[in-house]
Amino acid sequence: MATAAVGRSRLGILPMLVLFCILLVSLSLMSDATHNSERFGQLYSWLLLINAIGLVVLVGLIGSNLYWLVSQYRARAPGAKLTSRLVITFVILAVVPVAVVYYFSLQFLQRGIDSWFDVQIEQALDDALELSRGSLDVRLSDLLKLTEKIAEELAEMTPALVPIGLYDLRVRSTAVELAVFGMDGRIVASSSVEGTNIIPHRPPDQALLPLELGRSYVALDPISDAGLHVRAVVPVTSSKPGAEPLTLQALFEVPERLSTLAENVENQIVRYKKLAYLRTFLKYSYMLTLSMVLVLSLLSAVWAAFFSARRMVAPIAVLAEGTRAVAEGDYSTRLPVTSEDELGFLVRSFNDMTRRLSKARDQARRSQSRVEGQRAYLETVLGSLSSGVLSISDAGELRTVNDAACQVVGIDLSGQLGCRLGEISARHEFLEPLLSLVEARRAEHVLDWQEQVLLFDSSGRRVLMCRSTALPVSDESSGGQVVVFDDVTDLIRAQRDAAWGEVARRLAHEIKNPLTPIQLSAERLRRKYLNTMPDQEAEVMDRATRTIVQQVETLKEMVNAFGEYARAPKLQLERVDLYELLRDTAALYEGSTLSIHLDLVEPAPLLNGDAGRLRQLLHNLFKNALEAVREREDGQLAIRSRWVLEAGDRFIDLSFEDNGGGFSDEVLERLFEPYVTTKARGTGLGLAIVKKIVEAHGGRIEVGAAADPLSGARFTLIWPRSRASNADDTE
Amino acid sequence: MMAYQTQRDQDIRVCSHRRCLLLVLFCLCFASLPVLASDAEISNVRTLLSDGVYRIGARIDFDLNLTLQQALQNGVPLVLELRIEVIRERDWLWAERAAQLRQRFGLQFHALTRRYLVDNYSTDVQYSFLELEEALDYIGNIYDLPLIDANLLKPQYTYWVRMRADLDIESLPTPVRLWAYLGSDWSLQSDWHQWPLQP
Repeated sequence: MATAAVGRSRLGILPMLVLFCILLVSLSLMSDATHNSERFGQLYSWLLLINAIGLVVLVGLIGSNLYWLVSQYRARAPGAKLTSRLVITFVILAVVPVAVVYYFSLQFLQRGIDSWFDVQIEQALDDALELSRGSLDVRLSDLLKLTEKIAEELAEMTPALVPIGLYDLRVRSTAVELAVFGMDGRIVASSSVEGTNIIPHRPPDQALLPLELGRSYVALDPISDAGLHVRAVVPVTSSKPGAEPLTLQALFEVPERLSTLAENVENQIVRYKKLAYLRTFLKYSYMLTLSMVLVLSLLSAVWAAFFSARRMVAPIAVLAEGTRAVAEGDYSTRLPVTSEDELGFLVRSFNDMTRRLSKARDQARRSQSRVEGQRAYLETVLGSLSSGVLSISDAGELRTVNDAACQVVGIDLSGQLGCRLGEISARHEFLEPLLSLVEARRAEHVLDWQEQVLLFDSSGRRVLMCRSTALPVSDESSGGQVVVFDDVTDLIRAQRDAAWGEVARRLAHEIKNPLTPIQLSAERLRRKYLNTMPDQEAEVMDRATRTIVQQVETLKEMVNAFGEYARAPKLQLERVDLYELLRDTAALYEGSTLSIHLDLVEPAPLLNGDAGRLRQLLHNLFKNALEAVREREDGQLAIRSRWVLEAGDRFIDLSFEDNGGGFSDEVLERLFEPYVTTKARGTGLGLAIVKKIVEAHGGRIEVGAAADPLSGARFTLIWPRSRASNADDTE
Repeated sequence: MMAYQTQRDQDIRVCSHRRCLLLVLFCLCFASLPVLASDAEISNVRTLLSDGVYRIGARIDFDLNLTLQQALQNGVPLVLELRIEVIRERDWLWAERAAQLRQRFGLQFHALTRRYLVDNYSTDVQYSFLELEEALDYIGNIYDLPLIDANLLKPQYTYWVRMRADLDIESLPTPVRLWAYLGSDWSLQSDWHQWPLQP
């Protein structure tokens, strides 16, 4: 749009200059014509018309410019405001001096023209005119007398002699022409200096009029082609009876000097009087010309203001449009460089800027996508880590957390991002040991550390191995630390189990072997020496050897139990109906003090396991319950099963609840470890073996308090569906 | 006949130019001034066929207003113009101009002799008069003015003669021309006077 405007303006400059020159010349000619009608007087009206039309054209041009500007202003086009401001400035700059010059020119014009005329000069001219007239009157009077004298002489002549006498009289009187007319106006006789002029000049009517009254006529008359002449007309009155009354006209030349002077006086007076009379109109005409010059100047200035403003603003408007495009994110804008001045430099700089911006943006995009790729890669790596990773900012806020961390602690921590550690531990109390450890180390400004943390939640005790590393500080948003932790509960337990297994194996190996010789030796002593000893000694002997044999027996049982625990025989896997196995085992305890209630949901789980080991498992649990309720008469064991949907998978959940004494918290923690027992007797290996068998079959066992009304202990066996398919699946 | 034709063409051109000029200048007029217009009245028109040439006579009474009289007294020459046209009537169309004749008279006041000088531009003869009325009488007295050769007229058509008298504004001094065009008391113009061309 702006470029088009410049184009239009450029197209307009030449016709505009031509128009301006024409008007200027026309006004100049008009001014000349006003001053001197002789030269361009005939053209005056046309010049006036041309100027008027030219000014109307100029007004039209300015009107169209104004309309364009107003429409641009309303459309809030870039550069419109600047254009109008420039136009107003230019117009003011042009109008003020021109108006001042116009005002003073008018004043000078008025006073100048008035000063041409003076009352005294006018009077002097009138006097000069009067003097001329007086001088001429004397001459006229003399010539009239001369003419009358000629008339008297003619009156004495006979009519036949008149033409001849007339010639003599003319020569004598120095008249230019003498003519005698009859009553009817016919030429009786004439004589003139110029022989060629046969027909004499006739006297005008007003010259003949006085003759009727008996008076003569004398006047200064302009004669065609001959200038001023003195014309005298007198009657020729003959004393002869019957003579025709005649009229004599004599034309005398005015002396050349007198004639010239009189003409000069006449001309100047006429010229002066004419000017004086027309001075008002003259002033008006000059004012009109001056006003037209003023209007032409103003209109040209206004047009030039529009032209210049548009031309100046056009590149600025283009720049503004380009800037707007850049502001809207279009960095591909390249502006045409139309000039080599400062604006051209500006446009070139703008183009450089957009080019660099575009380059920088592309680079930023590439960097961003690279960073995003790296971030995604890092997240993938973090997500696939089995260790929990938390990153904590310098200010102690949680910044990142990976999936494994959430799985380890059992909470979705991604919603806690940006929260302070204190806030998180307030919401999740069981995380408090971990988070307070981090806080404490932070308070000590120790960011690189490794420690083991114990967490307690509904699922029991958890041991986390935590390692913290300080993150490098590169800018304001970096720094802080990253905490990596692993759930080592199972590892520790496995290590412990392995240790216990080793102990049991050594016991079995190292202790069991000497026991049999001890027992055999004691029995041999008894057999050989008991009968040979006196009764008192024999009694001692008998008690001692029996004790030895009994204790060795006990030791053997213990070692066997350890051996059982330590032994990890290969499982004989087969499809085992868990309910059937349960019912069979329960049937064995029907006569006991334990009242067993079975509450099993269908379908029955079919476990891929070793039936003998599973039976041993169930026996251990029954025995455990029996021993727990040994001191009660109404001992109860409730066995319930249910299918549970958990984390998108199905589990069979088998719970054993008794109404015994239950377990204290201390015992609960280590219940499944060997040698942990609440009973006076017992190896403490029963539940350890139970756990071992469950885990060998891919399940898990949990222990807790039984629900009311039993309020004893509760063991829950859980197998995933992958290990415990149900009857429907089988089908 | 040729002379008539050429004169006629020139006159048509001058006349149309002047009309155009008048129109535009009137458009430029912002307010009309109070007019004490001069007047010219045409009367006693007559037509005479003599020796195969139509001749006309008429009486024009010029009534110059004070402005024009003062202008004359102050040395401003006036040019009075008589325009005489022979037109042919046509059905459904405007009348056709068959011939046109212009008579121009220069009128000025000679201060030294206190006389009014009349220049007949057609004959190039100057006349002087003591009184303005006499000068105007001379100008307004048209007699035996040859108009058109009877042979140039087609007998089947009806011809009219029309006449008007006016003051030639273009001959006025340049400063007053605009005002004359704008219809001030500097103008003098009679209406067209029209009569049938018949002996």
